[in-house]
Amino acid sequence: MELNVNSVARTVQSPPLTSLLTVLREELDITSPKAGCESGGCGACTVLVDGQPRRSCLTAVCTLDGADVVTVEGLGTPEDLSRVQQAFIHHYAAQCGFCSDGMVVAATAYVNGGGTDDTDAIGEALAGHFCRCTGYVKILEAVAAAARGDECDVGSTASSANNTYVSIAGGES
Amino acid sequence: MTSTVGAAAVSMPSSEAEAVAAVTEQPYATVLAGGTLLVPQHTLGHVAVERAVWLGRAEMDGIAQSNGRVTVGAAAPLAACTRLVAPVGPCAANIGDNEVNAQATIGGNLCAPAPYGDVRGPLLALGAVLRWADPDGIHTGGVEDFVAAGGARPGRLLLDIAFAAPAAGSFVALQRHHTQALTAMTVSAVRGPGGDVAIAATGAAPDACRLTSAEAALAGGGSIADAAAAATADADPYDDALASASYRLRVLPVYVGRALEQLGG
Repeated sequence: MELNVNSVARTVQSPPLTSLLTVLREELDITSPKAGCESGGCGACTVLVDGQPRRSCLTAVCTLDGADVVTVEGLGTPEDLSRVQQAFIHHYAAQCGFCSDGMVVAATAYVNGGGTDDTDAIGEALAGHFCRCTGYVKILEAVAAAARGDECDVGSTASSANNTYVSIAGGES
Repeated sequence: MTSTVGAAAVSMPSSEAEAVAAVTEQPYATVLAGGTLLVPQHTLGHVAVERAVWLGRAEMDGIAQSNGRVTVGAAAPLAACTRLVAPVGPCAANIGDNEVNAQATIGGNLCAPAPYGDVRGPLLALGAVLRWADPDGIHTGGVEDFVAAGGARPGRLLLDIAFAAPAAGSFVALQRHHTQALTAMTVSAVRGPGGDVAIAATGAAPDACRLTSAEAALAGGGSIADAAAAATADADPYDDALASASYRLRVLPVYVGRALEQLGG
């Protein structure tokens, strides 16, 4: 069967019930989708399928013949990062980085879908994504910045001092 | 026409009739709908699948509403079911995060026993009629009939779910953080055209159940508090990783009360 992965046509040889996650990592050597829980609970394996975020660990590859699959490798290049990738760097929205690929993909779908910088809406959009480092505030800040279209300098790190997310801890924004 | 992909047989029927033929022929196949339960089990080696039937092209995902009656194809994604009337719509919206909700199907959820199967509660309260196929033919019956007949056993395919739109409906769930994908208890209430109230719960017993004692309390002129208190008579609480039996028994009246308050007069 055929997949269009990051704008490159790929022929897949894996058995049909193989998960898309396994195909990407083991057959196509695309390793940004992470094998976290492998049961749909952590979000680290999320990729875009025909523009929509999907858990690659829950998706049998045979159901995707001819589909467009986008992973973090297809979002930008080191020289030309996507808006969400730039925001994640500028807002320091990664610690260990294990969840970052799924977070960035889901955030990309959210921003591309016209999502706003509303805290609750972002939280709901990323609800199925776990950060074991518990770095959620920085992630929320990054997605909000990307949703607003902020210019994010990847050479500097933003301060949280003036960020509205202080308010979710009960302080003043 | 049924096509196959690769060495392992995965049939991809393009109609309901083809799907029925593929599922009911021996050796029996495993049904693949959204895949949110089957695929990880397969990946982790918990199930062996020699032949599967994928419903994604079988045109079994439609939702039709006509003359006050709603018919939902078994392969309809939960995300599409969120727009249905309460209690089904809110129940569908409560299952899984965005990605899982978009991929999982109402039939797959209904066929999965506790701690899955949340939609069994609303469909019990609605008196929904299921249509399923097996080697003996096409059958119809309620959720309880489907479960009593063995549920999603090999050689059986759930086709669709139909119910009359109620005069009013409500749904409450024991809320959990999104980090917990499963819901320990739900209560659904439905007021029929004649004013009669039906109540069903998941998590109060090992399988979804009607709360007939609570219904009888209401029908006899009792208050919401009376009905809520009566609900425990219908419970068969159990321990699992989500909640203890004693906790389930304590919170059931609370959620019955909330569902009836939400249902309104």
